[in-house]
Amino acid sequence: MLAKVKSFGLIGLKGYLVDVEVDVNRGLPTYDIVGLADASIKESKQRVTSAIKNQGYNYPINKITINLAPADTKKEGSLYDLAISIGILVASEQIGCSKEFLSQFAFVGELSLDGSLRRIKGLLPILITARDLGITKVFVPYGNAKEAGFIEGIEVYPVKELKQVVDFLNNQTQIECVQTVSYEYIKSTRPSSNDFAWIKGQASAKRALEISAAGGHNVLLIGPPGSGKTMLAKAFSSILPDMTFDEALESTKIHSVAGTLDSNIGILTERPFRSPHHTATIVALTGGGNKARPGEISLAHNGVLFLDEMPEYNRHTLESLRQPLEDGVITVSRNAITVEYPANFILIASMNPCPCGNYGSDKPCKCSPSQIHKYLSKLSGPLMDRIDMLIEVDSVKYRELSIDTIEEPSKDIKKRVDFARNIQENRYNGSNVHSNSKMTNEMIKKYCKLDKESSELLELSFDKLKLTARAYNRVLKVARTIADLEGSENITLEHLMEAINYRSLDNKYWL
Amino acid sequence: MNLDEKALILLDSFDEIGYQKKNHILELFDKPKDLFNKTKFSSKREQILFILGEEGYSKLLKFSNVESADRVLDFYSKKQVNVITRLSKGYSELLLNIDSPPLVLYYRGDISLLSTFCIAVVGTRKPTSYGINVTEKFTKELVDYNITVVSGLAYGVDSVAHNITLDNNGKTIAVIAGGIDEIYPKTNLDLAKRIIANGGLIVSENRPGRKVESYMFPIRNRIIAGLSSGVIITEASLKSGTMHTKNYALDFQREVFAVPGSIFSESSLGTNRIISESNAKLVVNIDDVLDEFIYIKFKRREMAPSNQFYSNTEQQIIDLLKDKEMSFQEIVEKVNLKTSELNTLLTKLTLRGIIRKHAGNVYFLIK
Repeated sequence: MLAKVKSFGLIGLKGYLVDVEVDVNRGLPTYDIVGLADASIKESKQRVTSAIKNQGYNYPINKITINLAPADTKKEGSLYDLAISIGILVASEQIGCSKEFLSQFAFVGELSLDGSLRRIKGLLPILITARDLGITKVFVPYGNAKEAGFIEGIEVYPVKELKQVVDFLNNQTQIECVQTVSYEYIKSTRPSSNDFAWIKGQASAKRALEISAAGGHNVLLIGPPGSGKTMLAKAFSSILPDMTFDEALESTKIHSVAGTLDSNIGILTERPFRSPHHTATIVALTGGGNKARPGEISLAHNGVLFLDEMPEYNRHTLESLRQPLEDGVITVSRNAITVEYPANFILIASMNPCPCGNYGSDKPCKCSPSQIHKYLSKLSGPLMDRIDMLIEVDSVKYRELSIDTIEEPSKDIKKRVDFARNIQENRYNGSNVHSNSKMTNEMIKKYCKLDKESSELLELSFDKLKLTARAYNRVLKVARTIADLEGSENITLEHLMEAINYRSLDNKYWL
Repeated sequence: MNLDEKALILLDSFDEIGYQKKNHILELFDKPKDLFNKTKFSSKREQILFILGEEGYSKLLKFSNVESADRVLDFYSKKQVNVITRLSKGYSELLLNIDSPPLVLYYRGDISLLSTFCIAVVGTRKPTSYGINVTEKFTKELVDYNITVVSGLAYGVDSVAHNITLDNNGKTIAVIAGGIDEIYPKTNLDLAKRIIANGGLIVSENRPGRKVESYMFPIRNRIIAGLSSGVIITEASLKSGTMHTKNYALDFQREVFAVPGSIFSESSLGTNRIISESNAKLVVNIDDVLDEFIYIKFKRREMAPSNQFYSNTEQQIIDLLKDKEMSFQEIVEKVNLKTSELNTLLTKLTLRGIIRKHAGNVYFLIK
């Protein structure tokens, strides 16, 4: 007899419907899977056989053919186990439900040998596709239940073992659907992991990061070892505006596909903070591999990508960031698939001022001037072009660590950031730009008007500080954000001056 | 251009013959132009063979004619490089008096600067804020007295000296080690262009296209010392290349001045040492320098009276920085200002040339 069961596959971040057709017929006992299945699907034979037996059902000693339609798309992963075993049980008439009844449901899940269900990767995009296709009832592994709680308009049945599904289809038990949870509720119960209040001193770096958070500006932190660059970067997430539900869903999709989602929460509530090690390859950063998996820059989508000790990264690896920094997406092409992953992140990079790290600090620096220059020039011009602010972190003296001043907590800074972001949202309403850092050239002309005095000053400062032409737009964008933080309509001289201060590093080191 | 000069230029274009050998060859003849004279040339065959060996001799013989010299000159003019020989008018008198004046100087810019009163400002390539400050002070004052500032277009003190001279509309000479079109370090290419555009001069004793090599730097330093009536060393560690310049200057009987620094600062060990060894005169301001040249009447440039007005907060920052440099954090703790306001203020003062930022987010007052 023939059975047809619905399931889903994944290409990148998009799910697609897969019909699992199971034919159990007379003949020599075999188990064949067709439909461009990869090794992990072919291995399902062992899992499915054992699971069916161990759950107390009969495994038919017949010729079994399984077709995964559409047959011309490559399929991978273990998520078809559940659909296949249900198909076999229906085809061997151990489940007695009608075709119409069965066709309302879709099944995803990996089976364990004892018949229990294991967690799968990428459930969220699958559920979204299911809902869009009008399939409103989906069986999912219990371990994925949390991920399902944020999507409305779909009934998700979390199941622990195969038997539950069979009993349900035979109308012997009921399974409770996953309750929808409010994102707002989940978000508010999550404590922030780092706080600016824990960092002593560093007033100028903190202010700069506040501006960066408010305008989405990419930042390079320069300072001697132990000055707190990493700590500042980690606390940076705590002053970023909260993720909206749409943003959270978008990021969760990526993390769901990559399998990096926390199963206890099921959705990202904090902006992701990714810090790949400097030995990371291009593929690890941008995504790829034979399955075209998302890379670190996509995992950092809507959050922060932190590159510690930036000059230590492979030059080519860094250069690969240029295009995504500009476009906010990365297209990963592999022989069978081409996938587009979003990659809209704030880049925070850190570096020492010289190879030994002590240049400009109290400790003696052992590097020659040409060494220092070489070290700094490891970052190519085009990459530096995409970094809005160059921030120097003071080397921390013991005195600063020991004084009992009370530092401003992140939540106060965040209020100002939210305020500035609001202004930007209103200003760019209707375009696909959301923050000052992403302003196009036309927008800069429109929104960054300078009065005569200010433009004269800008010219003078370029001359005096020997800034490069490429710094021009950066300064304007940062000045715009500073003005927004103050709620000022126009960019004033004061705003501009502060913005210039975040570029003055351009020439200084080789004086 | 006469034949003697052409002969010098031709001879200087041979990379494989060193400075000493070139001089030996020239000493063989009454006049340099005798190089072009086949009979006179072959009469000295034995001696030239002794100096250059078989290969060098035949090469020199092959090329020692006026046509080759013209071709070489043509090549230089295509590269827009000018030449002046030590026989030419306008060659620095002071330089001619040292025991090894370059046969030829290749240059771009205003060659008349060679005949002006020159003082060299040299020092470490990695100055501290103190070193920058000192260099800036002395350079500014030299410019005020219309004195040409000579330096080596290297990182650090050299760059500061050139830059400050140009900022104050003074004249500066950069003596570089490699060929005139081989600016090293490359980052100073802009500075080099700026020097020429502002009526300065860049000279080298190596022909255009000659790649810079490390041995050239100490040799170059003799020209810096040779061109100048005095050398001011603003900041130098013990092993600094500046010590070469000092040695040359002493050999050539030039005045050597050094600015003392803190005894705890490694970057000032060199200057302190040469002062203590009485190799240099301790100077604290330009008058100490000019006192050594009483035979010259210096005229100070007419200065527009500086009308600096500071707001209360600006004055507060200036007072804070009077005694020592301070990091941003230190300043922000001492003044009652928001971080953003302080940022703005510091940029303002930087642009007005009153303070400057140094590595490590440290600010210091320009004195």
